[in-house]
Amino acid sequence: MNEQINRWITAYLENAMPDAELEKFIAWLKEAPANADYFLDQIILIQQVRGYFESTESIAPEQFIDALALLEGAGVTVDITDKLEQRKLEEKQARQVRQLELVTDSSKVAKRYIVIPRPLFYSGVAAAIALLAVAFWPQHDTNIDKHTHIDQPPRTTVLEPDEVVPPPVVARMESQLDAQWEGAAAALTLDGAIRAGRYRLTSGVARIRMNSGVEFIAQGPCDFALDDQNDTRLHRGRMTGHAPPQAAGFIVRTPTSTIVDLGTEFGVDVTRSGTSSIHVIQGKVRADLLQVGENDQPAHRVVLSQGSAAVAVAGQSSFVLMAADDRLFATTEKLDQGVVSIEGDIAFLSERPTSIAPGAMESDDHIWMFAEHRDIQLTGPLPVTFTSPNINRRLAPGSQFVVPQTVRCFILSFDPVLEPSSRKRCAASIKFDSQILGVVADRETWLSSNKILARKDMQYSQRGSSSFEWNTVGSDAIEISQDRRTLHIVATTNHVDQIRVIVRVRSQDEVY
Amino acid sequence: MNEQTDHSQVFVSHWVKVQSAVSGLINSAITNRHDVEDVIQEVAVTAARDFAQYDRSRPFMPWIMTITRHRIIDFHRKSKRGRVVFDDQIVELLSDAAVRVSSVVTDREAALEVCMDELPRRGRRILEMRYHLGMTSQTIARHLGLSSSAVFSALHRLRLSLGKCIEGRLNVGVGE
Repeated sequence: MNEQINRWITAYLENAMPDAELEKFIAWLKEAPANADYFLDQIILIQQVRGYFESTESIAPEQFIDALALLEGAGVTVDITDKLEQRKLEEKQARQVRQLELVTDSSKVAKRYIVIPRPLFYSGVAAAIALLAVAFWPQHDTNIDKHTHIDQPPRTTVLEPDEVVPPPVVARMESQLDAQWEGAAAALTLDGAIRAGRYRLTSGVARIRMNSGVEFIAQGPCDFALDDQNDTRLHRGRMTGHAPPQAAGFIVRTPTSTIVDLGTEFGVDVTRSGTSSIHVIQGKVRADLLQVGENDQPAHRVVLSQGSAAVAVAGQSSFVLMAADDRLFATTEKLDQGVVSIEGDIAFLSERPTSIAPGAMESDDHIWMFAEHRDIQLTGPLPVTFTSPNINRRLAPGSQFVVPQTVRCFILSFDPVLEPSSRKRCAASIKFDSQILGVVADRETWLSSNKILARKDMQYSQRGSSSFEWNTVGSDAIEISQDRRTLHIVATTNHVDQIRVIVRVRSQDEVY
Repeated sequence: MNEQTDHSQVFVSHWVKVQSAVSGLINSAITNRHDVEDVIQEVAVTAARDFAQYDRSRPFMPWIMTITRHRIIDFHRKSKRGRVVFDDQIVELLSDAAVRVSSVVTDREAALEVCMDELPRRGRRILEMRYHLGMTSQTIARHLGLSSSAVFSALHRLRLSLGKCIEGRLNVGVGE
């Protein structure tokens, strides 16, 4: 294909084609089917390049199937225009706020900021898109260190066979959820000692308590190494570090950065190419961008505060700064409350709000979620709307209930701002550490369950929750997955949609 | 395995094979990345919902392309933002092209991996900044101390060089 055609295609891809050129380009496209084939081929090439870098965004095939089953029943339509405009406005505001909030250690490194919109996969519709992104843990580990120019060699002393001593114990396994390990790590047991070394968690979540007191949460797929009780390396995947004040100084090394915890909770995500993003959930961390160079000085140092994130790309001289997205990470708060993962338009609150009355917690692009009760002993049957997987419609009122036992209760509340004229839509999937026992999703049952579950220190809607519109095309849908651990929800409203999710309390010694 | 699970799994197996072509077509006709993702979602939702109507004795690709084409045209009609670059006729032309090129693009994914790894580090970083981090050419230029036209040229050359490398690798594969 000649140079001019390729210039047109590049200009098209860069959204930089003048109208006059565009007309010629379109005429060329119409000339022959082979021209359209070549153009489309180049477009797909670029999206494959994008896919090369986005390998860590994964979703299990079974989740995809569950989600499709839900969507099939939902007859979903999307109001794209309103949602995008709102999202762009919020991203712009967030960028401005974060830019002001970020603090750099200017005594050592000059300030250099570049602020970009949050990457696409962090945006509000990511969950719905993720339902379609069937990606798997890559098979070729040869790429892991290919671009890690600054990665440090394992701290292992080579000994003669008769001198081999096991590496020191640096941590203990606190809990595992659906964890699958590769290699010798498969033998890791609950409360078992973990020695220094490299581990690959292919799926699930592992909570590891370092001897220093730091909690290290690995989200599969995750390739990491524990070097000592205060020093770890994340080669690829996602982890969360939670350091109590006395354990401040915990270090996470990635191929492109070194992160020092200053007494906080933070998440780190490392992609296949070694690009690292650091998200501060609470407190502060210091992050050094490593450089390929002749000395050991960092190329850029930032101190990130709560709500801030920094992206480190290998070989660059400064971090790319943006807003943190804690939805990406399994935090201690979520796990302590039995929430393993959240995909999509959910904002998780670790503390209960004082009111969920209409207008108290408004948002157009996410559903608020919090634990109404972390555990409550039911002394009688609790009425719910439905209890079983694969039911996506309202059953006869009063026909379903949860039997007396100790349960957790979560409220999901979607309350668009100022009752807009067009309906707003959010979609999400939430995975719990134990079985979902029932969902309260209609007004009548909401009111009757209020008598058992409503808290005196929280204000509720006087009228009760708006019920889900089960039978209307393009409206709401809720479904419990086959294994009863995941709730899929699509909420569409211009008023308020609120539901209760009742989850069994998992006992301490239960292993999934 | 119940009927619904079977139904969904069949759909997923089809979707995995066509998703590159579907998103390629949408990417070719819609320039905003957020819009692209929303329309991909709409296509998948529509296809999943209507999958029972799909005649399994016929190829899946033309069926999904019809849905994709309609969703793109719907999007252009509903959207009041930005310019509509391609009219319905071009969208149809491109959807036919997507059917033809889909098998080729699936085959080249492995070759692309190798070719990406072979790119100079700086080139790979420019691609990552542009297509993974979503930075504009102007932002990349500022970041790297280059002019915007230099970044434009780099992106142009990188795409051509990747295409050439992939073609070479696929030809070697055929000869072996």
